[in-house]
Amino acid sequence: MGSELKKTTLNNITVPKKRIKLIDKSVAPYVFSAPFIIFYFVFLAFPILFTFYMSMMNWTPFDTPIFIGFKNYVELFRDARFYKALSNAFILMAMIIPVQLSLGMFIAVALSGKQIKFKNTLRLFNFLPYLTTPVALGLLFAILFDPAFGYINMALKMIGLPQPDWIGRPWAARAMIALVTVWRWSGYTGVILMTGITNISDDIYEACDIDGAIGWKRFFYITLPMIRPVIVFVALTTLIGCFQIFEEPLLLFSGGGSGRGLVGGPQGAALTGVWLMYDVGFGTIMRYGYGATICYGLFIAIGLVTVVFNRIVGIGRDNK
Amino acid sequence: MIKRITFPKAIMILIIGLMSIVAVLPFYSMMVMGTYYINDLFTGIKMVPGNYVMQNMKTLFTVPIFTYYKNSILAAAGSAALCVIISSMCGYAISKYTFKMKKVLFNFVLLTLMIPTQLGLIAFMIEMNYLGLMGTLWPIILPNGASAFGVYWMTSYIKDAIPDEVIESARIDGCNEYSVFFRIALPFIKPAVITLALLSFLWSWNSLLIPLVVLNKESLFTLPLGIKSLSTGFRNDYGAQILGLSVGTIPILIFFSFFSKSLISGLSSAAVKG
Repeated sequence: MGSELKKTTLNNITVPKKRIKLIDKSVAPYVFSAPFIIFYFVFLAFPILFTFYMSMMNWTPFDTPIFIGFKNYVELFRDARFYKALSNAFILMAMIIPVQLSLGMFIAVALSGKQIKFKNTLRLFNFLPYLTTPVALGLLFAILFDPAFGYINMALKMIGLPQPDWIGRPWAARAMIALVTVWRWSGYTGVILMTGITNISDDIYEACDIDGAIGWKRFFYITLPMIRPVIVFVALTTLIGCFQIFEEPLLLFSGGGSGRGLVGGPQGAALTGVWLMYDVGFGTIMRYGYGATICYGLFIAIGLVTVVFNRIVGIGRDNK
Repeated sequence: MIKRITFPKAIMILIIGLMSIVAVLPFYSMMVMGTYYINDLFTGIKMVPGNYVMQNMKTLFTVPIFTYYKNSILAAAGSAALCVIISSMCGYAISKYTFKMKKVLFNFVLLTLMIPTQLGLIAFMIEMNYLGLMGTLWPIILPNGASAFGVYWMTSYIKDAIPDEVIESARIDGCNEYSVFFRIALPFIKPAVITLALLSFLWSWNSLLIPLVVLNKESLFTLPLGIKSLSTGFRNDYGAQILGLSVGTIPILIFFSFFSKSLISGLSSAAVKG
């Protein structure tokens, strides 16, 4: 431990004229931050950089890796499955974000007021899905959504609604994933927005009361603008998250229920970016090099979405 | 004083009640379904527990579910400890010292908050293989030492939680920089330490992707992997499968429920401050 600390401090300090001791006040911050920097580079930054190197190779577990330049990227641009994964992400965004944000907002407003009894219990109930292991939820919903014997279709039958083939039809499959995702994240969204609301100072609301802004007016003119940064944060993380939905579709389509072992769901309708990466790298194909290329493809896609989102949100801010 | 419940308020209470029911109903049916024999399970929707739970238990315990629990606890506790100590040290450096790299370091933390680290997975697996860490739990513990969220959270917390005068007077009393941190600063930030430890524990506990790739034998499986293997292990015995879900999730959910307030405040701080 001691020698390791010394090494890092010596690297960081320039011109060691007089002997610098580890206990000096000028050295301490470097010693304190060194573990984070070392861990970050070894376990996160290096793999991400090395992924780029791998993306230029033909690399499988069975052969020696060969350098092939940008050939993988050429393949990526022609890969129908990659475009499928990207378009699925955008479709899921459109299905998930409006619903999740509205439900979350409703939870936040309803449970932040002082008027509701059992506030904390209801808050916990809505937060439980976030706390639960996603794999378990995937398996549970695989059973509940099963077209033949799942409770969801049984319930739909009881009230006389059509019973979709959740696992066999592309749009039904997407709807199922959107439903599960919204169910899991709405409570989380709600409690985060709620913190934003409770952070609004009481003075502002008192001023509104005097000015006669109540009910809907209060919500649209005070609450919403005040928690705008929180909404933006939640929307952006949800946006990025849509590329990374993995556990639930994996279990819904290749796990329990009817266990159809279908990568990407019916006609690839449920294939997400991370699932594609997993399937190419470790699943049915085992091509590490091309899997790494997919990672960088996703990086670029996520980066673009973030930039475009910032643009749109930024313009909205200027207009105000 | 008589409280008047207005019409919109009543609607709101009704809807939030319904939403809460929808949120917990799947958990309830999970627990109920685990108590039925497979053939009875699909004859109709069950709302009251059956009497087949012992037999399902017997089937379920043919898989080493306690091993999964042990591995999950080891990995999650290790991750939490590592994350807390490294993040609080780095957060302390950024918020309580002036040094050349301070700005750079903090901007680096902010930048890395946005990077989806899952995408380094394939190279991470190769690296772990090269370092000879495959076949151990280390690959799912060590990356948690590098938590940008943890550093960010600790930096913003420590800034206000520890008065500079306290640190200064500890120095005057003859504490060196490190004993100031471990003996004076750490006790001050106990709530933040607990919250970060819980969050880190939660994320490690629930993670699937990295364990799926790096844990290659059943004796190392964490609970999510164990749960995943239930779907193939008991392909036709849904009763045991669902009971496995309950056994794998309910105890930890109760544990997390006790700390939900702290978890929520930790999660939302990033959104509210950022």
